[in-house]
Amino acid sequence: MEQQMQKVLSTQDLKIGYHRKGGESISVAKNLNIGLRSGELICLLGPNGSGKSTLIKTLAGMLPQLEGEVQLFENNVSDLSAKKIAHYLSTVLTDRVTIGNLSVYQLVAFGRSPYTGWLGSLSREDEEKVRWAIESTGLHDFVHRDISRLSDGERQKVMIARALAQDTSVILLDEPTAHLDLPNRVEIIRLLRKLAHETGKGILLSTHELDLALKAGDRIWLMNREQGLLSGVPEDLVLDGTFEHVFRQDSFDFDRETGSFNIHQLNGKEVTLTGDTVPVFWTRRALEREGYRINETGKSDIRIEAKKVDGSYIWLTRASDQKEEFYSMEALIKWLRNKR
Amino acid sequence: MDRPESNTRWPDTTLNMSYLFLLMGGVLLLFLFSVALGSVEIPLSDIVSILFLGESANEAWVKIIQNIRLPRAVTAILAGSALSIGGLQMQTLFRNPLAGPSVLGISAGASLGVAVVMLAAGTITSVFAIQQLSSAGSWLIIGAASIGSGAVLFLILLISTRVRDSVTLLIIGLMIGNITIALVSIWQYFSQPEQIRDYLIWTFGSLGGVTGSQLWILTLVVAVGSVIAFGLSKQLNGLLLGENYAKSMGLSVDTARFWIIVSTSLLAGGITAFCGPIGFVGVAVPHLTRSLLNTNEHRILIPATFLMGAILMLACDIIAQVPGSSTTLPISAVTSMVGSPVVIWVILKRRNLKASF
Repeated sequence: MEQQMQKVLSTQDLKIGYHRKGGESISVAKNLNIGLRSGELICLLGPNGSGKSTLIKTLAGMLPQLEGEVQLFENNVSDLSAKKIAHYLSTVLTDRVTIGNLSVYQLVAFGRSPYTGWLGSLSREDEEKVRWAIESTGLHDFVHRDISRLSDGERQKVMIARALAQDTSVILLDEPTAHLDLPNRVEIIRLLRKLAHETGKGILLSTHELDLALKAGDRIWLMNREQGLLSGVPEDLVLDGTFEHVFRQDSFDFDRETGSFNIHQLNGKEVTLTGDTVPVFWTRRALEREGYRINETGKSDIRIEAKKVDGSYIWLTRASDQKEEFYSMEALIKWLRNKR
Repeated sequence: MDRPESNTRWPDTTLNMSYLFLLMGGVLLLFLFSVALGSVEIPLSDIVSILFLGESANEAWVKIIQNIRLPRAVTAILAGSALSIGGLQMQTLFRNPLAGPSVLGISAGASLGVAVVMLAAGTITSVFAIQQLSSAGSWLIIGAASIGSGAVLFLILLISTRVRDSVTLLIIGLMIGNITIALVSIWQYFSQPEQIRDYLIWTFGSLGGVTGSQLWILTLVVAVGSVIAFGLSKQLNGLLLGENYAKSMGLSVDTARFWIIVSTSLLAGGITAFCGPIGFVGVAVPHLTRSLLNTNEHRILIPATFLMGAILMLACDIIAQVPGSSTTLPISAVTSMVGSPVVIWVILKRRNLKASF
């Protein structure tokens, strides 16, 4: 796939931030050299305040770059008019759209603004694009629905459909999954991934969903205050310890083994856990929540064997040569708590 | 990407003009009604012949129609539609359902201009009352009001080049309006009762004071303002989603904002100067139109709001003249008293306005 290789959006020594009064400027991140290729889904991750929104708005030409350049195809973004930028790049922002008295179709059709005449009448081609955008996002059942009567997830899809109707090579999305429940989050990310791969668009989205980003992103851009922006395939960033470093904080840290955050404080005790796969998986979670460090081979003071016997689960424990049996996780946890 | 087979019922995006014809019919009907009603009874056949041929057996009737009733009805149409379109643009620009042409302090500016003339030069105002037709005094008042609203407009435009955020601009506009009103009330405090009376009469609003060349000027001002507003339809549609989205869809927000303010100032400033501060219409009519037509598409909304404003103002003016009597009520009181219940009724009945912004 040749088109997958083309860089559609890139930056050279970009410094982002805000202008203050009196020519002073506040830098949020600098020395950014990044590139978005067509057909690629990139997830932009970073702690709060690391400048994800600032980067997206700067790339979209909504904020001026403090230093360096943003190239959109062969052009410098700051040389392009808003209309020209809108031909190449569409944006889905965090701004809440709360208006009503407007149908889904009408809103998606606003995406054709860069192409329509001074009054905004739709040509046949415009209509085609709008319909395609609505079908691609699976919104055809909502065409006539008033946008004030949509759920958050549906409304987000409408905003994405609007960006699609704009028919650009690049789509930037600022936290498209915020405020959505898990099924909707997964659906949106899956949709964006499909769009990137099937239409060859370069898609960049910022998110807090570490888990989803690791699973869905072709590449990750990881922003942090010290090193600026680190780019790479998700698994590489995990294995070389970049994630652990960026997200390390006092109370929790990133677990390389599970690809998620540890939110539990250890109580300093160890448990040896053995048994069948399924009960072991869930028992492990319960024990970790209780603050135990788990090992599977060692000979800890407390040993637990989780098994499935005749369709129900059973936990066999051994602590200082005392053997006991438990038939629910609740009972097991109660016993552990009493031992402390 | 594969295009999924679907039997989706796609909407017809050609603009539905039927509402507009309906509203136009309403304007025409009320216009005739307004001309036909008055303290002097004139037969309908004579009214039609005076309107279209300019002649009638009774010379006095021709004078009444041509010099009093016709200008009054035309002024009602102009005032209603201008204030409504001004309000619509403000509501969309500021994404605030309470915005109206008065929020930018434009009406307040006009009031200050009038107050300066009336309260400072007591001797002049006792001679040139506002109701006096085509006198130098009324021109003076109109000039002062225009300068007042123009000055506030200029200030707002100046600030709008520095303040890029519309909500901040809205608040600044409100504050400037407050300062202006405070200035007027300080002036009133130190003025003679007779001077205050003249000023108060002006604040009641009047549709009857605009005649002859003034009417032509007002028509021109409203026409220019309305054409600008209609030309901004696409930008206004984009602004419904907020300034960032509008910009991301290739619309030049700064230019749009400049022209919206110009258009609103012409419309609201012109009407306030000639007719006095008429409240309520600018805020209410856009809501009424949005609710009745269930649309936020400005290509339809602007002409519809124009017509709806004309209808409402004509109706209010008919009521203000208290048919069958020679009394006339202050128009700004009537618009609020008649209009508010209508709007409350429509909003409660349709229940589709809640999420307009």
